[in-house]
Amino acid sequence: MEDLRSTTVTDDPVQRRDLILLERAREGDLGAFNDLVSLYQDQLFAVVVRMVPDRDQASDAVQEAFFSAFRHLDSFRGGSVKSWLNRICVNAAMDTQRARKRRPVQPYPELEDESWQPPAGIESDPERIAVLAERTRALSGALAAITDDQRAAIVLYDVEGFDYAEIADMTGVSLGTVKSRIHRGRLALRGLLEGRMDLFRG
Amino acid sequence: MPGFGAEPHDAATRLTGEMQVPDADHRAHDPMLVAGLLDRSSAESERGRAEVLVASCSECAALHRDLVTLVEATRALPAPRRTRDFTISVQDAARLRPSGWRRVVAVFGSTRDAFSRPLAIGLTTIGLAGLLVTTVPGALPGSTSTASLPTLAQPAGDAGAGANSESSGGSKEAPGASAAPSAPGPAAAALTAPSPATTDAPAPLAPSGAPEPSGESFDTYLGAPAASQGAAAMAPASSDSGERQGADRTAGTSIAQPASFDHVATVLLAGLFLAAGIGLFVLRWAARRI
Repeated sequence: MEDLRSTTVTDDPVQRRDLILLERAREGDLGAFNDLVSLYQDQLFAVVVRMVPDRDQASDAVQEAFFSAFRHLDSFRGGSVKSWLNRICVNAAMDTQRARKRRPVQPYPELEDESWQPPAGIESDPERIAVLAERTRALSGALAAITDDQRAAIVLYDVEGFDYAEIADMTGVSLGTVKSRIHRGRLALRGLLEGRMDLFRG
Repeated sequence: MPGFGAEPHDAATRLTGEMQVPDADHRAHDPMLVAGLLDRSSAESERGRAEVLVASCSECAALHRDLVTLVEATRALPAPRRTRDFTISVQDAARLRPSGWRRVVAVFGSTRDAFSRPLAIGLTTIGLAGLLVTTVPGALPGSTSTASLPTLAQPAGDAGAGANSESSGGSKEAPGASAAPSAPGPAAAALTAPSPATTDAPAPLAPSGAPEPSGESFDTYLGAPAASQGAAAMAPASSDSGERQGADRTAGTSIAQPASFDHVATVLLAGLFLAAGIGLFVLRWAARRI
C-alpha cells in the first residue's frame, strides 16, 4: 500500500496527523477513521447544513459522505485530508440538493418553530436575543432563496474560508465560475435583504 | 484649490495618464466589481477599479457597506448543532468494506490500478479498428480488404452476372435436354475447373468453347453461391455430372471456406476485443460506485 507520509511532504502538524490517521484507516484501523470523523464532523456538518437547508437531510448527507469516504479510502491521492473530506461532503450535499428539488421540503423548519432560539451567548439581553433570532431567520431565509450553486460557493468561501482553487476543485467548476457564483450570490443576498439591512447594522 | 474630481497636477507634470473618473450614473457601474472587492485574492486591476467606484459613487459605497455587513453576518450565522454522531460502527464498517466479488471489482476503482484504463482504451481501439476494417471495406484506404476487394469483387460480379444469365438460360433448357449443349457459364465452369479429374474427363456440360475460368475465382467466397446456383441449375443433367458436381461442390466449398472463415474470425476477434474493452470500462465505472 502506498505510504502517504512518504509521498506527501508536509510540515503542517495537523495535516501530518490527518495523514497518519488516514493511512492507519487504510490499513483497516476503524478507530483511526473514527478519529478523523470526530475531528471533522462538526465542521463538515456546519458546511452541509448551510448548503442543505434541512437539518435531517444535512445529517443524512454528512453520514453518507463519511460512508463514502470510508469506502473510498484508496481514492485519496495525497494533499489535505480536510479538503478531501470537504470535497466528499460538498458532493453529498449537492446530491441531496438535487434530490430535494424533486421532493421539496420546508427550509429551516426550526426557524418556523417559535420555541427555537439561536444559541445564547454571553449576552442574555432579551432584546438582543430577539434581534439575533430575527437576523438569523432573515439571513437563513435569504440564503435558502438563492441558487444552490451560489449558496455553496458563499458558504465555502465566506464562511469556511476556502480559496477559489479549492472550491473549484470541490465543486468541479472553473475558477471564473466560482468567482462569478460568489459575487452574484452576494448581490442576490443583498437584493433579497435590501429593505431589512437595518437589522444587520449595529 | 482644485475642485472635486479634478487632478491635483496638470497633465504635463503627471507620471501617468488621466485619472479614470467613472461615469456619474450608478446604473452604468458594474456591481460585480464592487462585490469582488471583498475577495481576499482579487486582481489588482479589478480591485483598483472597484475602489475608484466605491470612492466616487455613493450608491456603490452603500452597496459595498451592505455586502461587508452581509458577509460578516453570514460568517456569524449560528449553524444548527448536529443531532447525531457520525462515527462508523463495526457493523457499518463490515457492511461498507468490499467483500467477495466486490473486493475484486473494487481493485479496478482504486488509484493504485494503473493498467486497466490504458488496457480498456487499447482493447476498445483495436476492436473498433478491426470491425471497421473488416466490415466497412472502404473505410481505410490501402487496407488489406480494401486493396483486395476490387480484384475480388470484379470476377465475383462477372461470375455472378454470368451465372445468373446462364443459369436462367440453363434452367430453360435443362428440363428439355439432358445433355443440353448450353454453356454452363463461368461460375459453373469455375466449379469444375480446380479438380484435375474433371478437367481431364470430357465434361459434357463444359464445352471446349466455354470460357475457362481462372483459379482466382475460387478465392471469392462471393462466387461460391453463384457456383452452387449454377450447379443447381445443371443438377438434372445427368447422374455422372451429378456425382461430379457433388465432388466439385465439396471441393469448391473446401477451397472457398478459408477466405470466409478468415473474415469471420477477424470480425469475431475484433468484436471480442471491443467487448473486452467496453467490459473493462464498465468494470471501472462499477468499481467506483460499489
